[in-house]
Amino acid sequence: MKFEPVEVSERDDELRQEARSWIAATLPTGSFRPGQGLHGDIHSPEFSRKLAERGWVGMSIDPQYGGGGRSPLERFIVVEELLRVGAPIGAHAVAERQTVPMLMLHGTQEQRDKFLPAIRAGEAYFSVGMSEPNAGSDLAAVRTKATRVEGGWALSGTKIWTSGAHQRPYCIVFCRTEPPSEDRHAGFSQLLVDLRGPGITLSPIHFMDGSHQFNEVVFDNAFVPDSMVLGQIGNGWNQVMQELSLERAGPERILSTWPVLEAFLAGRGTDDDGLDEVLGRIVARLWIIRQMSLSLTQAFAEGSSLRGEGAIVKDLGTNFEQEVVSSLLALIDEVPELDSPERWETVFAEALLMTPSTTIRGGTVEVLRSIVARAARDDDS
Amino acid sequence: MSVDPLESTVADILAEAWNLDAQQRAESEGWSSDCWEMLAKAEMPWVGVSETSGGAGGTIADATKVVRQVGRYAAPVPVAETGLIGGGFAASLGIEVPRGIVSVAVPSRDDALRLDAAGNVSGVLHRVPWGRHASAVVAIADAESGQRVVLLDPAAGKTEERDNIAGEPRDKLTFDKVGVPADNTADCPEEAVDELFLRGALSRVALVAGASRAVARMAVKYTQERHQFGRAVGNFQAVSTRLAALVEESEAAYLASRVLTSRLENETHGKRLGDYEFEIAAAKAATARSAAEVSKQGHQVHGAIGMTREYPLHRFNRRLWVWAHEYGSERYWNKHLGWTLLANGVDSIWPTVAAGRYTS
Repeated sequence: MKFEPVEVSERDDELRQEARSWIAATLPTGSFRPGQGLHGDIHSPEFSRKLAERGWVGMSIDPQYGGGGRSPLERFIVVEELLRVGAPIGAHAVAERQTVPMLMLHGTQEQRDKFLPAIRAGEAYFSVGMSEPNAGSDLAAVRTKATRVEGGWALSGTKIWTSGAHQRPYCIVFCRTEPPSEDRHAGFSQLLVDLRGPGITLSPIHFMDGSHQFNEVVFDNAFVPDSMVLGQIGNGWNQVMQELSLERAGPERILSTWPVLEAFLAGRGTDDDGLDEVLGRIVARLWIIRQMSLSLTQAFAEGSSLRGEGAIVKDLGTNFEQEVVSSLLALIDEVPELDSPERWETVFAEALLMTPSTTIRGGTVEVLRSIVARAARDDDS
Repeated sequence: MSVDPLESTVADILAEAWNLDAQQRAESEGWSSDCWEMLAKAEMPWVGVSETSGGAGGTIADATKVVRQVGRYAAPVPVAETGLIGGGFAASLGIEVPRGIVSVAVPSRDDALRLDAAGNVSGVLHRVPWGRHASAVVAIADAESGQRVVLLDPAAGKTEERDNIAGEPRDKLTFDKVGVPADNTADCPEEAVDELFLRGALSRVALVAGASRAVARMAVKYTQERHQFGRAVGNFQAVSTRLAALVEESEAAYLASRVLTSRLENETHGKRLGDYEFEIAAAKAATARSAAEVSKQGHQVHGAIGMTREYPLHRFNRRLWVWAHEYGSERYWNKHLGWTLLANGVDSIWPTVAAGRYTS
């Protein structure tokens, strides 16, 4: 596997300091509810716009579309600092992390002109249209189909889990444009869909803590114009695999529970017996997973795809996110309560309910380990 | 992956020297004089020891590369002690290092060495790696004026041969009023003791990294070759899940060591080894954790054959158990990290991780 040490420059350090200062000024502790993972996808158009004004949404978008043309490493640095405090980046996170690169790789000029400046301004929000009731880990079992009509496509089918679809109206929908054949991966495409259009119905799926994050999205002959086909008709499988790899190896899969630790230490204090060892173990693990993530960020910037390596980082990272919470829980005698007046405790309680999701969403660790094992076999040959 | 010329040179030497014959001879000798001779001819054990002190030159970063490959082959030769740890440390204090096997007594509570006013050393050193083969041992002695580093000749004392669980020599050396020339002693301030310990930790990170990679390669290969129920055992999900965990941890360990090499090479955090303490601590703790998983999964996916003396797996796994624990166990370094971070203030934790050095 290809992991390489990354040395950051002084300019990178300066950017990190700038991000830290801006975040401290814009989101003083206690002034906002820190999100973690699922809830860290806290939808705040206001914050997204502020961040965009600062130039930190869609940092790596080409300047011709209003972007800063910054490197993936620079984006990594800013995103890390945002995740550290649990900043409400939920409105723009998917758009910036996945949609932007997909538009750069596969978008038409018209699509780029329509979406990139809006994403860059923190005003265009995207959700992910992949999973279905009968197609979770097995994405090739997707049944939502688009049939040819005049000027475009009629989309019918059901997507499920679609996080934030009720708040983030644009969606890249993975669907069949050809009937199933011998080749399981043939006949798929991706369509850029506005979920507010006719023939589309959203219903909430409540998470186990009662919150509304997930949705079921039913398409009933919803019209999608030709101009909103992303990439090539029939190339959907390759495209969706690329999109998945974009969301695997970054700090979003490592740091989503970090705010729990910081809140714990600040709010509860540092007197718990055994805290030093637990903290050291967490920090040592974070240190190496971070080095791996940095390595991949650099490699992606240079155009490598590294599927096995991305799966490794997501497996280690999402398990780490759970470990932060479980190892702190092991230190204390009382179960945290959601309605505690102590902020550290409510954040902790929310995390307990949220963390089962980390090793499931975006690719279960079981699937990831299959990918790793296969990559290791290929490496060896 | 970019191939470092120094590392590939060492790997080539070992790939050739550490053959079946050499392995058989090492079984009876307790170490590999064959590998040592081949490496010595290329001056590899003295990489990282300054030329002015009798070494081959090269940096401490170079020394970690050499040691990483020694770990990769689990070659039973005292390269880490001679160059990276003992020789490099002694040379940094101005002590001339003889060409030969150099060992180091790990500073520990069990040892008690005294240097009297007449320049004689008395006391006991436990678990000295390769003590019976060494022509010189670097140790720390208590003197009237404070701690002193001394370079001792084991032949002037008494050696009790003992092996650790991996079959590596960890000997007990006893000295009774042994004269040590003044040139073979130097002042040893507290930072120097820390530095010696950090060098040792660096060496174990490198050895664990190399050995972990070897176990991963061996396991992937074996689970493809071994067939049961009509297919390769590695294709059963229950096995491939373990293999994936093994590979992940071996990649983590290997990168951890390479990151330290990169930092030292680039002088990222400064010119003193103490400047790298955070990342060395994190890497040592992290690789110890990875080593436990690598050895466990390595054994499990090999089934019964992996437990035999003849099959090479045990040569790596037993060493992983030892190296993960030496120069500070996982628990030691976890506690050290946690304690230091809490002392520096909870607000310093994230900035420390991001910067790779302690801040306050």
